[in-house]
Amino acid sequence: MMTFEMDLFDHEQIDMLREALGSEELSEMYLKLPMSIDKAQDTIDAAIANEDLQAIKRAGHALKGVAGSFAAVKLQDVARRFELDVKSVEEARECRALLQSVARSTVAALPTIAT
Amino acid sequence: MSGNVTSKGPFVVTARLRDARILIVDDEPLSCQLLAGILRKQGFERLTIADCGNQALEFTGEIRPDLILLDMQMPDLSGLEVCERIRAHTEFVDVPILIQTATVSPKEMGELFAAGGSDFLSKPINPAELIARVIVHLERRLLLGEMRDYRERISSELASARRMQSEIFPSPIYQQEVAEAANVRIGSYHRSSSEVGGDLWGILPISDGRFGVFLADFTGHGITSALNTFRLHALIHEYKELHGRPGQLLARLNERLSKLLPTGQFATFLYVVIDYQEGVLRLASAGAPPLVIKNGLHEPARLLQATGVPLGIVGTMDYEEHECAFDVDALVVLYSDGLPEFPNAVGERLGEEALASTLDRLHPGLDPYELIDKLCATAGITPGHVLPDDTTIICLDRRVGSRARSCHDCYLVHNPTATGKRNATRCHADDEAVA
Repeated sequence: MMTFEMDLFDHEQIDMLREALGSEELSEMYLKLPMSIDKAQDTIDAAIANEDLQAIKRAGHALKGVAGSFAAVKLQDVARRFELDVKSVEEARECRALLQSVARSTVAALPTIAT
Repeated sequence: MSGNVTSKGPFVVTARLRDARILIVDDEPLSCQLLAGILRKQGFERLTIADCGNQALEFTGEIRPDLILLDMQMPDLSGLEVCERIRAHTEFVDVPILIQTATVSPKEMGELFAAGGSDFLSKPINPAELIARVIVHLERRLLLGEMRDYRERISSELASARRMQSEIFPSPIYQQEVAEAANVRIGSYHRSSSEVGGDLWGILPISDGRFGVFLADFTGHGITSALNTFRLHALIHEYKELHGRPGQLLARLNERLSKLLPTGQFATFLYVVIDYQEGVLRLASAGAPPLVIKNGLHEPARLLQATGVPLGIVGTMDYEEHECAFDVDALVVLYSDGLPEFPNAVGERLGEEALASTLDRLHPGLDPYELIDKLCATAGITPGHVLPDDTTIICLDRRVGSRARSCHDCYLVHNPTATGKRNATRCHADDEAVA
């Protein structure tokens, strides 16, 4: 059976951003992306700890937005699940490991994107 | 390329657009930075960032942005709430608000526009779409602003022109003075179809128990016609020595106007010299509607038609003078074609013959202003009607010579904002009605 593995980044979107901003400025912004991703994950963790489902969804929305803006489509997709799909704190807790994994992969790939 | 224009890729950003104040509202700092970076590359420098809805409201009041980029979801207020609150202020009703949204739901898109959003920006951000929409909305705002300024300026200038034009018409006080001296009653009505018009009337003092009344109607209406009325007014007063000779005055005015007016512009003109001592009326006409005269209570009103080419068409013309009695109980009505040609509610026009016969049916006790009101009502003209043509009516009433009084009192009653010497609170028709 074939499985479809989503790319971490939408390279067409990155090309559009590069054309609009220039490589240098875009690279500088990509270097700040890990901080935003970490902050969003911290917010989600705090919301899970507080068992606040709405806060989890809001944090998922924020992460989805920033990931989408910077063409990190796989991270955006996982964040979307936190915003729209999870129906309970427990479900969010179950998705947390996936989010961490995709976030790490995304951040790890950034140096190749940013140049 | 001019230094006032920035062109990055397919977009052209003029200096005026670059000067626009843009407020970016998003709770995610990196997203704000991305939007700001894209806009700066296009030359937009006056960017302000708000990181939540409340700050957006605060900054909107402070910097008065020319355009707002607003995120749909923020922790304190939603984009829609922010949008609605901004729109609640009349000064920001036309500020473009572009709402960033990832939604494609028709319902949510409807809510976005219902909240006052001008447009939306899809998320993730597409730089070309962002720039194109920002430019389009800023240009639209600039154009709207320019149109509003232009309209205000033109309105103000037209109001001023209207005041100036009203000043060349005989004032109620002057009408009163002439009326008292001649032992007649004078009533007048003038309405333009737009702010200024092409009708002009006036009273010219002449010695030896005479005065002149003229009524001119320039082709068209509006500013060109109004400017021509000023020209004509100056010319009429230039030829004071001809004020007692209607034919010669018209010939001279025609000669001058035909040199001044471009082809297609001309004026009908009726000039009547009232000799109230001799009881005679002399007139000359340049294509004007016929005067209506009613000599005596039991005599039928008749049209006094005098032929003549309108002023300003042919350089040299002779204008024939006509004479008729102006008896002690005479009534004379001059009018521009706006009166008989006014289309009433069913599109019918009164016409000149019916205008004359209307006078026969009206009660002889009516004062000139009441008579004019009746004529307007018969033609279908009411105060609320927008007139398709400038309309002027002048009524000279000698029928109650022994009780003659000026209608200025009545004028003040009917036009309480007018100023005058007398403290009129009651129209004399009221007194007559009581009697």
